Amino acid sequence: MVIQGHDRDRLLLSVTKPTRYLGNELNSVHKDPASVQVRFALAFPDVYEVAMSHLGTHILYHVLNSRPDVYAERVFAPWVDMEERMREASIPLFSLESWTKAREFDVIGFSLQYEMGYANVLNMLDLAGIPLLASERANTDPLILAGGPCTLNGEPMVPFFDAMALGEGEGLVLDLVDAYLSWKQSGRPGGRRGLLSDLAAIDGVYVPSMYRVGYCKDGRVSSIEPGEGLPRTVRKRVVEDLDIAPFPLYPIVPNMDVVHDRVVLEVFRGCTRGCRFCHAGFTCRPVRERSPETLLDQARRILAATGHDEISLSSLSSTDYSGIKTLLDLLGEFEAKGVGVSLPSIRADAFSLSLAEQVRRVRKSGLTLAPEAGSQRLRDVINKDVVEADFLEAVAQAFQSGWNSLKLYFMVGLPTETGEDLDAMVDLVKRVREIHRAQGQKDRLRLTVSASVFVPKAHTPFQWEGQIPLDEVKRRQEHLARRLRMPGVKFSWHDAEVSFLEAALSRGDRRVARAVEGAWRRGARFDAWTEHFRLDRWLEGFEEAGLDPAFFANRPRHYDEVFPWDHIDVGLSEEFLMREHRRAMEGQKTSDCREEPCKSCGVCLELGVPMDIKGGESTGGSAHQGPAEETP
Amino acid sequence: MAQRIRARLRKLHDARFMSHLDLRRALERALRRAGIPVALTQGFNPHPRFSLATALPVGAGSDAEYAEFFLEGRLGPLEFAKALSGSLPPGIEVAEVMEVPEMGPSLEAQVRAASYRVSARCDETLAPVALEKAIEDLLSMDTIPVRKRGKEGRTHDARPLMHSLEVLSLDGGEVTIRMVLGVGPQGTLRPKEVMSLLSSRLEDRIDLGHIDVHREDLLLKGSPCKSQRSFCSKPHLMDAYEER
Repeated sequence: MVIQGHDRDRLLLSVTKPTRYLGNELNSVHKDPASVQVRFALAFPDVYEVAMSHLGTHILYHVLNSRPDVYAERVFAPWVDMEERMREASIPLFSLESWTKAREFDVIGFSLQYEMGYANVLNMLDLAGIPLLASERANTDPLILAGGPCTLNGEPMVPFFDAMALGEGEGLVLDLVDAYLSWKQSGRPGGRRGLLSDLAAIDGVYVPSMYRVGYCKDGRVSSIEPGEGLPRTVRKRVVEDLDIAPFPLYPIVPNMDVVHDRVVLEVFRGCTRGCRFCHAGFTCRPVRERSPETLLDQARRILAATGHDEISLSSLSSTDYSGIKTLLDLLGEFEAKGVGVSLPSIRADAFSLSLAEQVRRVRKSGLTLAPEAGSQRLRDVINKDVVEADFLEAVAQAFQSGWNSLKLYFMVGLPTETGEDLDAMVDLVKRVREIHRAQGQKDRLRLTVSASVFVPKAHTPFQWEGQIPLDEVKRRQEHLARRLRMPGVKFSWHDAEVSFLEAALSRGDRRVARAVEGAWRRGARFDAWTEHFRLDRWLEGFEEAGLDPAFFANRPRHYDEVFPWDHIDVGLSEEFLMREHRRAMEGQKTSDCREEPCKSCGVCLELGVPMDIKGGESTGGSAHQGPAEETP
Repeated sequence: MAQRIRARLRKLHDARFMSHLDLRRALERALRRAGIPVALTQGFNPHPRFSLATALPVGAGSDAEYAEFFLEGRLGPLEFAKALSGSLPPGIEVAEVMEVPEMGPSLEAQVRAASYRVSARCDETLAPVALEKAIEDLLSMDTIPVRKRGKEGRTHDARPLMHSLEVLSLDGGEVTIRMVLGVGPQGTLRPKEVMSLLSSRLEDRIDLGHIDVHREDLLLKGSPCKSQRSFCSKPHLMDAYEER
């Protein structure tokens, strides 16, 4: 224990929300450290409330602690007040369950969910007293791993990690533990270097130090060379059958209010829609569903183990679940106990709306629809399958069913966007208001219009696109804010500066790591929190590293450019992404992957894992035999 | 037929750091895990129907967190206690359970006073005589104006809310005092305020930075239970309390 007794009490009483640090929640796992072989810290670079809302952390906690020879504990970023106390009193970063020093663990695995957590990773390593750079760590330092979506282009963070785990972690994390254990038990042959060689041999494990990156004079990447005996590309791991994949049936129940405070059922992974801006939509393929029976069984057990009063159906687009009607009927059994079901965001069509009506019987909630773009032209460019007439019909139906509060999600700065598209967005909002007025609804309309900023992401058809310049983003946001100033409408937009940084980091190369470190040294942390974010620290960090963030954020790329993430294989063929990019520029839609013929993105064949539709009401998945050209 | 059950709960160890809202949430979930047939509130967002007598500051422990639960079906108090005990998170315990008539004033309306054990660090030179003198002085005053929380410039009289003060120990730079203070609709006086009043009479020799508070019991008045005019397990609390 880093601190105990009265001193611990005093520390806890001197910070806000001390329950963040107690680690004694219901269903938290407490083992005797002497009885295990491997101590694994699941690190999340954000505060407790956010970390505890991350399903992946719960899954890995369950998978690791199911093994008697492993003890997994949580290590989260202390909030700024706690960090201050810890630095004053020289208390190092510690685990929640046993308040053990983080640096005493065998392995620390960080979850990289979003770029704005990068500075927190460095801050946590520093608080733990572990050298930031993997190359400077000694044999006695823990193995520092990363997983999560950002590792699919983790280059701006690679110098800080010994290895990265690509793709889904259920099987992968156990392979990592096994390799670590056999290295440890056989007397640590070859030291740290030896361990990394062992890890590099595991499918889905990327050891960055074993790949050499060359650069052109203009700063682009010229080549990525694997070390001897290593594959040119490292392929992400996927779970084949979600029905038999491990899932936490006794999840930890936080004592305080966290962001997602409910039972989470993961109905499927992947998405067949193919919205061209969506990182998850391309990198989480193929679609694999859980069966309604499995989900009902999980719901019963998790409710009994936690006492939650809400079930959230989690996936990239839950109303697309083939067994959605069956599942909602099955989950109706909890209605009498006051347990409601929530659908985080629904498709803007009549079918989805009827589902939303069904679930609001228990708990009334707002309705969120995401047209993403104002004009049909631009929605075709991004391949968002929303037709204005259907959308407006769904809105009319929603008002009739008693919804008066509606949230609409849009994006600003999408490729090819013009002033006309922004005007179309304003017009769409006006149409929604008109429908409400025409129906003569008694209650006032409360319309929240939310606009995020488009960030081009690796492994998507828009990876060749540049983000529009920061000033232009701000200009468009201000234009919209002016035009959307109307009664009953609240317009909110995402911070343009945060989005610019996100764009610079998400497609950065490994030289960007120096900028991350520079920003952190200047005080950057909790960048996802508006009150803590300051762009100047990052601009100075980039400058110090001799880099221009605009080079990564705003520059359009050629098809022949070598990307910093070219050695990371998510199963997608480059031809497919290029074809999708060209089709986008031509305003051509590509139909849902569940509809024939196969769009030959390559994932099912490459990964050897077919699309798995379990609900039984699907139009039927395609055979995925071979490439089939789309006819425009 | 509905049923109203009153329970005295304990909040110990790390559960002390749970806020009042956290405790409410924990109880809601425990009720569901236990499968106790609690009535649901009507309205937009139905919740299990129960109330807590009065809030404690974060960090304070308690042997007396009173709660009343409204059940839909019938369940003996013993059965209720067993079911709830088995489902509470670590640090929260069921001390006592009784059935109370369904009608009658709300729990919050019945709270009158609480007994606390309050510890703080103090100057090692602080003599028992000086401390006793300060307490005597305080209790002999007719009125003690103290600033109202959150309302600048306005004061209220702490004296009628100060029922008794008793030194339990003064040793090695730590002082422990038992205080019975008014709580509820008639007014509330907090242990920290009393410590501050004492310290100001003792040349600030009590460290107000970290005060360890433990609620020993709560006095409820006008209890609908005929056999007990007041629901209270500590005789000293009833003795100390006088209606003013």
